[in-house]
Amino acid sequence: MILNQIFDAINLGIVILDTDLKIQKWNRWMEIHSGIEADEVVGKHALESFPNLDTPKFIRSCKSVFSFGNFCFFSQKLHGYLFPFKSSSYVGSEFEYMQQSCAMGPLRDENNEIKYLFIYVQDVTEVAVYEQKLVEMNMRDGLTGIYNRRFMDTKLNEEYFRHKRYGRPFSIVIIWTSMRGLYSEIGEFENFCCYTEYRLFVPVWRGGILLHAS
Amino acid sequence: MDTEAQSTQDFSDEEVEILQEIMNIAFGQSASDLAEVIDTQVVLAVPFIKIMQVPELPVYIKENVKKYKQISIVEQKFWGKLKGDALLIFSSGSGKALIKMLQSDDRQGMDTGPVDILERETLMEVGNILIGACVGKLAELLHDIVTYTPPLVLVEKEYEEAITSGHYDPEKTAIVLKTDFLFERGNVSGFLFLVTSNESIKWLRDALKIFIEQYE
Repeated sequence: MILNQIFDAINLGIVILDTDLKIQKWNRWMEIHSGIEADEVVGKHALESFPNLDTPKFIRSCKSVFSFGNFCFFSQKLHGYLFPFKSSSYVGSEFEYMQQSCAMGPLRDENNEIKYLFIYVQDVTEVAVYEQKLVEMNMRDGLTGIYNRRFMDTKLNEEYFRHKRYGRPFSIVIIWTSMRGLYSEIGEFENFCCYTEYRLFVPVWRGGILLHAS
Repeated sequence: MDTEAQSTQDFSDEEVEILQEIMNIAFGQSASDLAEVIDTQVVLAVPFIKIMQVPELPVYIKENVKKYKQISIVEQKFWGKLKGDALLIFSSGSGKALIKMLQSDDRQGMDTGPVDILERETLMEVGNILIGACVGKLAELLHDIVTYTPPLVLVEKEYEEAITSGHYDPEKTAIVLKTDFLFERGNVSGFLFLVTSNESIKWLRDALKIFIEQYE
């Protein structure tokens, strides 16, 4: 009775699945954020109700919980979310769905046999929004809004390792343009505008990036 | 020397042998279940047990992993009656090899995500499964249930830098259980160290006694 109240009052989503991955419990938080009442989902197969869960990682994690009693973690950084709940209350957020940090673990019966697994869902959208802003600030020039040298180094490194991993062709085309020429033509006063407008006129092809290299 | 440390020192050869046998059974069971979960055979070597003062631990670990030079570490704490730290040390390049190994199923996500996050998360996932399998089976044989903290991961560091001695309590004694592992696909290898805290030792000794009594 008391545990049921905590189950529904806690500011976390809690879902309980049985060994067939059928939903056994769906708490109030999940009802509110999904718009789906517990009665509508309890007894249904989790992968049918949420097809986006049907991934090798999710299935591997369920197996490892039932086989070893493991705890598995789904970080927001890589997965974004497990349950696609529309995110509407975060001003300035570019996320379409609520960002979630989730974990799953075993639930045992009185004989210590693992009969169920629980998944808890934590809303971390606000933190993710701040982190996204910090990354943006770190990677873009404050005046012009175009990418900086740090972004280029990170991106080059990332793409190089991606190429190594997949063995795909890798090429870089660098078109070096000088802002100085534009300055002298337009004049000091209009420099700020020049920078901003310049960004709009540079033909950035698909996958191309405009950045400050210095 | 405090009483706890003294009691660890008194861990008899027979007890060490029983523990080693239990680890052997546990890891054998884990290996077969792991094959089903991550779809590749993991070869876990016969575990080796050593009892040492905690300050000796970093030197011991470094000595074992120095052949790798660059390493990635997944660290996870576990607690039940059996309590301690699991350190899974992967050889250099393991993260990327594991991404490649798992990518046939997860290609879409793997192809688009930033590599460093992907590598970190893959090491974390595989590390979590491997540690959970070994610790979980060991605990199960000793009739214990353990829970885990989220894994921490350190990617591709010089082994000298990666293993520091700063956060170990010099007063404590540790039972270090070491095994080396090899993934059949992907050429991934490394070491698993389980460092049980000396708070678990009294319980461990009793659990070993109960375990062996079943066969007497």
